[in-house]
Amino acid sequence: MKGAMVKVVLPIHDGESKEEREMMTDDFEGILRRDIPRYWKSINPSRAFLTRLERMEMPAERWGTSLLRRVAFRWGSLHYSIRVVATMLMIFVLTFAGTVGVQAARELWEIVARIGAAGLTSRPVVVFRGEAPMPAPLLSREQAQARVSFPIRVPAYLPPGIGEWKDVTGVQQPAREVFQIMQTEDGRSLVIVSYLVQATGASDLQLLQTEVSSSPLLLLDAYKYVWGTPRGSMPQDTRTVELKPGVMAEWAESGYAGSGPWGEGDFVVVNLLWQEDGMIFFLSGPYSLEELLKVARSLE
Amino acid sequence: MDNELTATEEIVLITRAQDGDRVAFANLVRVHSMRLYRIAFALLGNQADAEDVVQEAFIAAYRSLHGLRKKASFESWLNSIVVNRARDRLRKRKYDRELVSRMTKNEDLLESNGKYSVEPLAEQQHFSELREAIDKLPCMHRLVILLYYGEGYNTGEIARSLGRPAGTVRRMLSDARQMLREYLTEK
Repeated sequence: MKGAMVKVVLPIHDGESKEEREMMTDDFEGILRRDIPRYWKSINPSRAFLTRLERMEMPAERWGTSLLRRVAFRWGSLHYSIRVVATMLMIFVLTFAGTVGVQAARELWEIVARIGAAGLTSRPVVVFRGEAPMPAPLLSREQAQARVSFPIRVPAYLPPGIGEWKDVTGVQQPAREVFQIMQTEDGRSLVIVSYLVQATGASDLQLLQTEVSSSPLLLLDAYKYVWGTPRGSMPQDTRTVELKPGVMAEWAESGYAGSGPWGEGDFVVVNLLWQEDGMIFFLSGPYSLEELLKVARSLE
Repeated sequence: MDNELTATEEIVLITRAQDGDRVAFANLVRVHSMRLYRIAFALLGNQADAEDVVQEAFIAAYRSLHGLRKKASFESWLNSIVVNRARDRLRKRKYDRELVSRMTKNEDLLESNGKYSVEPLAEQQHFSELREAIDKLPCMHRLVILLYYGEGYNTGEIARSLGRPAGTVRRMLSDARQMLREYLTEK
């Protein structure tokens, strides 16, 4: 190794010939091609780890399910008469269950839509019940960070038309974002980062973040509960999207009508909810899914 | 891959795993675990963290496998999960370091304890100079050059694994070569 390195030293000097440089370059390239693979292959995990991986139990719950695909796959291999009987049975069961089930689902979505929740996740999120919490004071990032035990993340990318907060109580100097901290029922801190959307003159773009916990399940955005009333009985559009490899997000576009910080009349709020690195994030704002994804992917 | 599979065999395994076949997924784990560990280790420089990240990445992959459409890009998809997780951990590590630093008001003590310092990449004396030089590279440059020469990826494959444009990867590769050359020249 050491001897070969000498060849690398030589061509650094000025005035070397082109041939020399190429030869030396080739030498250096040759060293990399020869030694790096050997080095790479020398990085090996412990045998105990490999054994642990082999025995690793995969979680029973999966985000989304391929149940439908599995059923469809096996369906074709069933005998025709079994398929006919099973179809009749399914129609029978669905007719009864449908009435009850649809009603229950409508009620659930009504709640979800009213409070502006993005949807259900496989893990519990934050629960506010009863009256909406009182508005929390506005803080700077440093002040907010000093009050919570997790690193607060903010997006590096923001949609065009985001203004600065100034002449607002609690904001000492013009700021791109303001922070508020609220407490959940189970005592966790919920950080709300708000951005001023110039078009509406309100904090329409908000990022909520808190730690994952084991309490039950819905994320309720209390502000929407206070200021908005749902236009429909359920979000108009929902879907699961891949935020980044291995991180899925729930997205919902909800319609609202009412008055408040958003102004008068109908409006649409788009919500994105995901979990990442032990944290729950909830992003809402009057933007397209693509735009929200860009914001969400830029968190740092 | 350390246990080679043909592209068709792998797609069959992926499809079966997407249908909930855990044995098929376990086979995928076996095939890809070594490379993923190396990627995690190259970024984190720490065995325990690398093992955690690989394990977490497989669980995340299992959970979101049904969403994978381009089965042919499974390998780079897995790589990118590990890279993202490792970068999250690096970010967390940086935050922890800053937090502890704020609390103790004494960064020198922290460094001398070595609690957060990155361990050497490997122990083989044989590669000590190269290892030291690679260890000095910024973590993403380190990974790029290791994937290129060590894993035999082309820049397009690295770009997909890192979620960065191919042009950026080519520039990082060139910069990494240059830095390596300078480090080794100093020896």
